[in-house]
Amino acid sequence: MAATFPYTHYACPCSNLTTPASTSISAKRTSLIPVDAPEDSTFNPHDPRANYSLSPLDRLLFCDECEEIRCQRCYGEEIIHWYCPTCLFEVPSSGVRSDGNRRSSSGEEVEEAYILQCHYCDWSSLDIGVHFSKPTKITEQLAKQRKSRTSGGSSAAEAQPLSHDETFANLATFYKEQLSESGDPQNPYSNSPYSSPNNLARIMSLYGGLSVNALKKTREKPQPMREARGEEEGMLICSFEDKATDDALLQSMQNLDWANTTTAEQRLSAPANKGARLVDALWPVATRLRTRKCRRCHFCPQYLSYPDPKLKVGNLRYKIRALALNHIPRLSIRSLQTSYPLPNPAFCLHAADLLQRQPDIQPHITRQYILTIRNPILEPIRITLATPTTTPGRVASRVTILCPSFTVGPAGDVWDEALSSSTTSMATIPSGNGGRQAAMESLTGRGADESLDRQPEAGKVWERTKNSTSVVLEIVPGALKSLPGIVPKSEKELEEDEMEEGDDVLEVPIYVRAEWEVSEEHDDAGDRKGGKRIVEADGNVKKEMAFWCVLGVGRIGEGG
Amino acid sequence: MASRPAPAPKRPSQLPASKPPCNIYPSAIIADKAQITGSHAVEIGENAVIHPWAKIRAEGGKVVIGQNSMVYEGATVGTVDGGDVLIGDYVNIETGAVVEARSVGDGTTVEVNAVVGKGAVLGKWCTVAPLERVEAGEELEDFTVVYGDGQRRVDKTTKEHAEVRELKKGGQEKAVQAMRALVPNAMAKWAG
Repeated sequence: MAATFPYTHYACPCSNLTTPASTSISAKRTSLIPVDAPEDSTFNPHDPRANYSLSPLDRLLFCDECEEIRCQRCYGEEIIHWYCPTCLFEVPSSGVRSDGNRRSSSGEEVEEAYILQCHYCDWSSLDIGVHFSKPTKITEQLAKQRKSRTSGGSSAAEAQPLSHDETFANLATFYKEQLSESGDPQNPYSNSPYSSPNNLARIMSLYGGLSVNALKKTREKPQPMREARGEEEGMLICSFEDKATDDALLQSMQNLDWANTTTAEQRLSAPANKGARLVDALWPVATRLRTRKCRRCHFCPQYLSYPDPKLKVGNLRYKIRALALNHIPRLSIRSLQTSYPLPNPAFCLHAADLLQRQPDIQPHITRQYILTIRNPILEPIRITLATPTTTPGRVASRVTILCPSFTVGPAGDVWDEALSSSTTSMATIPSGNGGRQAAMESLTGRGADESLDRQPEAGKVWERTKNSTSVVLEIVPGALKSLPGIVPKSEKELEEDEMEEGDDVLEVPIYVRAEWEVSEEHDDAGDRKGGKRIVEADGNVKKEMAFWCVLGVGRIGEGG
Repeated sequence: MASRPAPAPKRPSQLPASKPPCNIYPSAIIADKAQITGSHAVEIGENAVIHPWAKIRAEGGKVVIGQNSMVYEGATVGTVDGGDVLIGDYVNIETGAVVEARSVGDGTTVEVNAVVGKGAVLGKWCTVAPLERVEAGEELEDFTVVYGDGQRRVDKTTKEHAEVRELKKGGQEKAVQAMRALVPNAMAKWAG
């Protein structure tokens, strides 16, 4: 993870990377041992697969139907429409397949004939002997000419692209067969309307049962797919038999200069151009269209983002955009010791500042950090933090959260914040463990100058503003190398001592659980969800959310 | 007329006092704001159009512009100290281009902000793409296209198809006719 320290990465619940903590479970703070199954385990940020499930908060979306974080892997993208990047013409989706797109033709009339011409370099389709009978449906006409040319010409050089197309078609059908075979080996309902796995999934989700993902798990493990073997299955064997064609090509390459050969970019522009070695063999390709996409949750039909359809392309406004930023408490960490600031990379003015290596953390020296939790929602939330006492991975550092349970005030609009002082907003918060302390502090008027030589205390909130609360985190970084012993190490032990990349990064996994209450009429997701819904006596709905996140604190130095 | 001497100190090159000996065909169009300077002869052919703010500089040698040719806004044709510049027929010198070539062949287009250096010789039906450069003294064969950061290619379409050349000529004639209606003629200022 090549982020600048400090950072906070959130684990999406879609990937269950938590490993059952067999030994460390007893070492966990007893008061914090949760009941739910995933919480019995620890998220290991040094897991090789952790990189795929962790992402910064701003890259995550939030499904308010499922009330869960959604990462790139758990939403699907659907194309809303196609458009031309040059003229921004929106191509109706029905026309994309048949017409390709409208290609601007210069329409030079040569006895009712039309040609394509580039106004920049004066290339025209006459150079390759192509002209059209009408200025519409260019793609169709081009395809027709291409077909007649490749099938008519008997020379191998021209036949090759066609065989490439055929090979691709063969390969596609082969994989489709493989998918259908391995997808559902013994289907018990082959005659019923539930035969298709998609149908079944839809029906199951209709009745509020299992999600598609859970359904997949229940199904038997599919047989592994095999690869294509023969030509009819789409495997293309490279041969050197066609020597005459190669020689002819080499000869023409020798005669012509460098500018007449195609570039890799040109060859890869379209399947028709794959075999083209000389510029003359290139075939015109319609401008590739761009798309606008919407994002949709994999587990429910909810849209996570949807560009405003009324606006023209090029406008970035969204009709729907459910960012995790607006739903998930934001965690940030900074060093308590002012002598050792962790600079915010957003304030770096020069690129060199970013390259400058941050000072390493000394092992075995206790450091204190301020962990700030900011609440983006309009209800006050109760936060419970949990962390394993030692960080997982090769280098075990001890982590203690001095105040693991506290409340965070609601986020209001800017005016509320400006008009009301911090003390009035405190009154709305149900007094918690640290909440009362902080409220008392602010009531008795303890100023900022006093807090300068304040010592962090266990069970007390460090700092509190309207919608954020800070607590102190104590970390004793572990050493990179185990202490030299008298007994010579076995080979296996030496192997284990070998450092791997990223092992020296101090990353603290933290399990965050947030609870809050919503009045029933405001609860839009609860009706459909059913699961976590607990209606209180006063008509409020209790909600909770829990997730793992990883705090990147810094790099542990060699010293010690 | 009273305002004319006022800007003169600012732009000495615009002084009509140093008007070169011009030989302008009656059907040509010279815009009022076009600048023709220098002491050498300037010849402008049939139906040629010199747009406003185009500069014809005859300080270094004579400038000849062929029939149905156009010099667009801000383009400069001619040299200060270089020698004669002969522009052929059906030539387009686009906006901001600088042409100091010895000769430019018929049907050639010098695109926007392109530069053709001193003493260069451009053949017939050449194209210099926008912002491209033809170095001083360089000679381009007929139908050459200068494009894509100095690359050269032969325009086969124009070379091999006479009808395309005819079409291009026809197109240029139509463009000239259109400009006739758009650019007010101030030839009287220069003729004679």
